[in-house]
Amino acid sequence: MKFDSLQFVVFSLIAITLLRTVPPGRLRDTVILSLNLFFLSSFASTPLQFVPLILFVVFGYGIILLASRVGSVIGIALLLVVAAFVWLKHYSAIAFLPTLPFPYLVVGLSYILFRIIHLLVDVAQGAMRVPRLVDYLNYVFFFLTFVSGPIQRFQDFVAQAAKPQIKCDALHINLAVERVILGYFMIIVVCSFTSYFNARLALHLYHYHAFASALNIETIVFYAAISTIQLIHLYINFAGYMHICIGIGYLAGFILPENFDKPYKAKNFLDFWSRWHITLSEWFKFYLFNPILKAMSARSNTAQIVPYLGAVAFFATFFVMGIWHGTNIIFVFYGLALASGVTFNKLWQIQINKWLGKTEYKRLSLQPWYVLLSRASTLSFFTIILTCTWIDPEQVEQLTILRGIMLGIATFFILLILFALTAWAVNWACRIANWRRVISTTGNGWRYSAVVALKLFVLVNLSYILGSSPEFVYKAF
Amino acid sequence: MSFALYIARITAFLIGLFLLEFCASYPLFRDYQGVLDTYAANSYFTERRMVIYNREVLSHAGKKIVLLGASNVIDALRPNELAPFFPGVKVYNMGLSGSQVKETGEEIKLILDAVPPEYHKDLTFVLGVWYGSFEDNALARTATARTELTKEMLNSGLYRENGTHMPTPRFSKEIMRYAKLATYPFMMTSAGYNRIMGQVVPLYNKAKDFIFPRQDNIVIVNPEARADANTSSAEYRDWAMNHWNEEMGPVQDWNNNSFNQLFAIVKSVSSTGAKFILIDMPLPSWHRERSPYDRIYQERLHSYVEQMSSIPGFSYGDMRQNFNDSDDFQDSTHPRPKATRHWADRAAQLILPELAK
Repeated sequence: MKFDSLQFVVFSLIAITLLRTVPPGRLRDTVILSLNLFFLSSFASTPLQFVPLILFVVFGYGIILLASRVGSVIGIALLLVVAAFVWLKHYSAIAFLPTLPFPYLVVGLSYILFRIIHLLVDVAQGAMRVPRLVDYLNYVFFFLTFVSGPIQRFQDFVAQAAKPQIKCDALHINLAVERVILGYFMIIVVCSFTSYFNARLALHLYHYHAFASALNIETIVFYAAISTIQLIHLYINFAGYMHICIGIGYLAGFILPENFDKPYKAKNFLDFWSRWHITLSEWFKFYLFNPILKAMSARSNTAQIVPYLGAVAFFATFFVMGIWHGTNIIFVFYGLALASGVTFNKLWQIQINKWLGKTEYKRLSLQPWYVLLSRASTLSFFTIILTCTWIDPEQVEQLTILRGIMLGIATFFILLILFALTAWAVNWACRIANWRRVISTTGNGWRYSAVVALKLFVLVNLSYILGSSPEFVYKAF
Repeated sequence: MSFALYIARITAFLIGLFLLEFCASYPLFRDYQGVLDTYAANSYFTERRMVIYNREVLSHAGKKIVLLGASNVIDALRPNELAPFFPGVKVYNMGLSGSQVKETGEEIKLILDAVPPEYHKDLTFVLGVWYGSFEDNALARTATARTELTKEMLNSGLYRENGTHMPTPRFSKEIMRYAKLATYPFMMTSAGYNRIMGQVVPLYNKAKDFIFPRQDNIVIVNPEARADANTSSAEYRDWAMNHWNEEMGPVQDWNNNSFNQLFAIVKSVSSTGAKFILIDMPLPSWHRERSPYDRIYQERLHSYVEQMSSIPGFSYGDMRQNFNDSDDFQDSTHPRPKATRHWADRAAQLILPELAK
């Protein structure tokens, strides 16, 4: 079920109505489960395609039960769950292993893995009890977060599933509806344009400017342009879908966690990951970074080495996060690049702190030029390494290492200048302009309803004009 | 305020806005109801829309000739010039600019769906082809790849995906008539959007060409000035050949996908009782001589025509003879406006004997 389809809109309205009206209890659990299974059923055409996914979920519950009784098996349990995930996703590293002889659903599998691991660890460590099967199934298959998050903690989900957490009053309805409209505008309108420019620029890059075989100013400029458009497309696409999920969640009484917090305002690469795909970063922080750091710190006697252990933990964490994004070898490079960027950032912070001292470093980090340079470097670096997620593999095969490195460096500096100038211009514009909301977000009168209706009217027309909106990018991860 | 009341208010306003939009759009499309000549298409009622919305015009009893093919067929075979040759027969030109065999097959499916089965035997499909009709691209190779026609079907909201290349209607035939009316407002806004982009895109192209000048010095012929195009100039012919060669791709990679599709279409049409006339459309001699595809196309086409000759209702006509480059062609494929009567005359000579059978 595509998010911009009429079926999803009708389904959401029904879901919101049910979730607002059905009282807490078994009936409510059943209603949520029915909604989730109905949503899930829209992703495949035959029951057989669901079998591996269902078995994985059941396996996950079994593992959680086992871990609750025998806490020491948590290591093996984690290994088994991750192994099952890697096999089902069919990572290229295990391409030699036999696979299932029929097509099956893998949508949402990554996020189901995250939820299972969260439950497994928390149950094994005694932080929570084994969830009821119905709560587990509702948590794992919750229709608003099934495809690509946001990754919500089980405890929060269960409390919100029990009864609506947000009042159904004018203020909250308006806020939620504005969010949904914004989300649809982003994916239907903005993403259509970014998709269009992507396709046009890719044509230039691959065919006219011989991306793989020539290194000239035109190749660099087109590569820089398409990389930037890809970044914008990814952000608008993902953030747009999140707005829709979170907005519908509000209407249904759920407070879903935010996944984006103006990542274009990040002060550095580490800060970027506290603003981009926030729930993913936090999950990795809780379940990978912290345990690694804790384990290394326990073995270390020297206090001075602890910050460097943090850098090592960051490297390991982001390397795994990069690999998680895709199943073929190029995502190993993505992971290495992510990990290197974060580690470099951390080491830079450690080192400059040593050179300047805490106070001076703090002063430096508040300097506008430093913030601008840091932000531009972060965005440029991320834009370039994101190439791994969209580049045509055939072009990569033709690109030599030296040419690739030179292209990357040249593009980095062009993007650095572009992003720095853009950030400076936006800062300057925001300072001199007094941006006011043209349309109020509050109010329960007919005027506000008319404005919302007008926005929806424009959106529906634009949706017709622009045709089907681009696919949700993160659905593939 | 309850959620239900909130939704009710929004819905009321939305219905009001759509009604206003419908009232504004209806006059624009009223005159196109019942028109089935894609030459008359414009940015509001495009060629594909005309096929989707007005094909029911063919559902009446009586013999009908339906002309299919690309823009050379649209421009060359004018119904008003062909009709005098076929008294008592209605002639419709449903060509689609830029179409290939796959899209023609989809169009035929739509037509056969609109015409009651008992009237299929009164249909004569006349498909004008040239080597460009058999372009072997992703569209031809991938069964589920969307043509402009199926994209328009899906964009209209009247059809839905079903996993195959041909979308299925959302509504029954009775309701579809009213559902089509409901899409007029969107067609109006989409036409408005196309007009705006029609102004913006050339500016973008100018800016792009200014920043990155084209390496070649070939003059781009303005399609709007086709009537004045100097097709005898070496620059134009070089550009045209370059254009078609790029479109067709490497000649060594050109396989038979589209020819196979044509074979399937002819068999399918024959099974309904309708006739199918395949006409080999003319090209200027300089185009035929310089194209690496034309000779191969001729060999393949004749090979397939031989196979199809045993299919009931199928016939083939070669229209490539007796055309003069300067008198009959205004560019690499299209007729001069003044020459369409000659083209109609030649086509009629090929159609008449088959119609009489």
